[in-house]
Order: sequence, then C-alpha cells, then structure tokens
Amino acid sequence: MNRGIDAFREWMELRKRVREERQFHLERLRAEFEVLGLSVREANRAARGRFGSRRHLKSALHELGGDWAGLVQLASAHRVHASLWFQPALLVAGILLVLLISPAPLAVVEGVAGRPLTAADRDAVFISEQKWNLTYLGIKKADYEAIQAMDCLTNLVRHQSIHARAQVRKSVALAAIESLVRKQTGNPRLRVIPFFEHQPIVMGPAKAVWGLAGLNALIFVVPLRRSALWLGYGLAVGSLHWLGSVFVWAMAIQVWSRIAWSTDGRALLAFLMTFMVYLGLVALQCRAWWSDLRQRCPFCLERLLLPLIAGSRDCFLLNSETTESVCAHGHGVLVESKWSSRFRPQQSPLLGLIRG
Amino acid sequence: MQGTLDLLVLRVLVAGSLHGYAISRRLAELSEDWLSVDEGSLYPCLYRMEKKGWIRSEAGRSENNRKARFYSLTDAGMEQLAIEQDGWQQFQRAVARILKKA
Repeated sequence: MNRGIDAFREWMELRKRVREERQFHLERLRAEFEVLGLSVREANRAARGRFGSRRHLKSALHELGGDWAGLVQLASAHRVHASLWFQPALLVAGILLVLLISPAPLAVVEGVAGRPLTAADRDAVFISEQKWNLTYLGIKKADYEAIQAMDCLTNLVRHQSIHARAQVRKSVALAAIESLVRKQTGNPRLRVIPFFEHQPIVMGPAKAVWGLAGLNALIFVVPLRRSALWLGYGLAVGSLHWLGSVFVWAMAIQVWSRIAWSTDGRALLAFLMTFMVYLGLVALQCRAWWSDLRQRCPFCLERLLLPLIAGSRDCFLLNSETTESVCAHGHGVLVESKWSSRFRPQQSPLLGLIRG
Repeated sequence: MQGTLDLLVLRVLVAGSLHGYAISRRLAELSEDWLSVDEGSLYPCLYRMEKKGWIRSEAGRSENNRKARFYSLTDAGMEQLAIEQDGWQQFQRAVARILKKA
C-alpha cells in the first residue's frame, strides 16, 4: 500500500512543480504587460497567449513524467505491482467502477447477492421451455402469444427469449397452470416455475465458470502444501476476483436485457458473445491470481526475487530447465519447472550465497 | 530548429543559475528581441535536459521573493555544450559553403 502512496505522492510533486513554474512565469509575464499599460484582464490574456497552449503544458508534463504514462512508470519503479494490496485494491476499484457505470447499481448488487422476495414475487412465475430437465431454452414468440389470453396469468411480460414472467391467481395451483399452458400452446416442454428459482438463471453461467475455476485452483494449490498464510491470502484474493467477476457479469446481463433486440437470434448471439468475452476475462483473472500467488513467499508473502534459470531447455529428461527465485528475507527458494512448482525452505545454495 | 534551443539554453546557463523566466528574457535580450522563445517549449526543453543530466534544478527565491526553480549547468552539460557548439559551427560552415558556391 505504501509503495502505491509513495508513487502517487511523487507523481503529484512532479505535477505541482510544473504548475508552480507555469504560475511563476505567467505572473512575471502579466506584470510585464501591465507595465506596458495593459489592463489586468488584457495582461492576463496576453500572458497566457505568450506562454503557449495546453498542448505545451501536456508536453511539459510528459517530459517531466507528470502525465498518466509517468504515473505508470513511477508505479512500476516503486514495484507497486509487487505489493500485497495491489490486486485487492485493483479489484475493489473495479467493483466500484462497475457500480458507477451500471444503469441500475442496486439491481447489480441484487443480482449477485440475491434479494428478499416481496409479496408480489411470491405469486410470480416464469415460463420457459425446458430440455432434458436440465436447461431452460426460453420461450418462443408463438408460445408467448398463445398464453397471453389465459385468465389465470396476469401482468404477463416476455423478457427477450429467456422467459415470460407473470403473476398467478392465488386460487390456482402451479401444476394446474403448467398443464393449462402446455394445452394452450401445444408445447409439452414448457414449464411454469416459481420466481425465486429463476435467480440462478441470471448468475448461473458466471457461477458455473467460477465453480470450475475454483475446482481447478484447488487441484493446483492444495498439493503445494504451503503455509496457511499463503493459502489464506490466495483464497481471499481469489474470492475478490470471483466477486469482481460476477459483478461484471451482472452488469453485462443488465445491459444486455435492456437492449431491444430485433430478433431472438440476435439476442442469443449477443448473449453467447458476451459469455465468450466473460470467459476470456475469467481466464485473465485466473492467470493474474495464480502468477502473483506463485511468486510470493509462503512465509512472509513478499514477492520472490532474482529469478535464475538452471538446466537446459533441450534436455528436459535429464537436466530440465528450472527457474529459481529467492525470498529476500531468506525464507527459501521457489523452484519452478514447466511441470511443477516447489518451494524449498532454507535449503538452496542460492540462499547461502545471499547470506554470505 | 531541432536542438537549437538546447544549445541556446546551455550557453545562457554558463553565466550562472537562472529561473525559467529569466532564461527566456535573457535569450530575447541577447538576440535583441529577434529570437522569441515560446515559453511553452522552454520548460519541456529544460525538463528534458535535466533528465539527461545536462542541467540541475533547485528551488529558491526570485528577486521579488517568489518561489522559483533555478537551473544551473552540470559538468555533463558543459561537455554537451561543447559538442553542440561544435556541431552548430560545422552546420553553419556547410550552409555558408553552399550559399557561396551554388
């Protein structure tokens, strides 16, 4: 955290320097023009005109490293990316950004955390076609039009091709409504489901992807048998990645459902493309999480340093290529090959060299 | 001309440390107001030269007791000035030869 603050402070100092110099120069020019008989306003305008446009200010900031690129360079020089708080801070900022740009932030939170059922929700149902008792396929336009005339359903609304939502009359049982719906449409695969069961549909794909990612993470992380501190940190950052990711998915679905797609096919195509992009994002997150965690000492969680390549890339059976990175606090050495990753506490000759 | 401002600023700073405004005034004065240095270009030039280690800067007070940053020449800057001066003279001679013979 301190590294980030130091980098930011240094960056602000640079910007302050440019601002102060500009101010000083403008004041002197203004005074010079005032002596020549110009009014304060005219002198001000002339001084600004003489000093140069904002392009010059940008150029000065760029030369000094006071622009955004300079901030990135400073952050890199201060090794901000190696800080324990880097990924968590980035993820929290990402979540806040999602809430900020979302058309309905509360709905995004509800999409992730769920929301208590209201009285209206208790009588709400969604109607969708189900195949092999596993997947909800949505509702076709013809089926939707056929159920519109049914007396037992009120406030009938079709959300894209995903489902139709309606309120049911209290006196009628769900099984009876389902039977009536199937009879009315002639589609035996249509199902009438209470509203609360609908929630997993929205977040389902995201949760399924993360379920798989979590399982894979367990397979990778648990056999490494590192310290509880390391596992705890990994779990906490992994959970934040999950949270950030489902927030993104909730927002994406929210935006998608607000677009009036001209055909069901386009809606489905957009949904699939969104899901593909989401898969890419999850892959990037998993990579960032694992590569950062792998490079941390299990005892002090500091980033390992001085990567040293040993062995040969061409001789992978007898002398395979490995990379050894050492903990700056002397806790041990991480030995990584293409196939495995082991942390050797206080055993490596590299450590002896460091300790003199 | 590219690089000319660096040469002029380095030469002006040989006399001693000056703040940005004084550098621009001195350049105008020495060229008898013939050369007008765009102040917006002066500071990027100063920062660039400071990064290269040709000049150094330190905070101080101006003659009217305002906070200002003073620039002075370093040893590397002196060497660079010699190189730039040499380059400029060669360039000048080449142009003169062309004008004479063409």
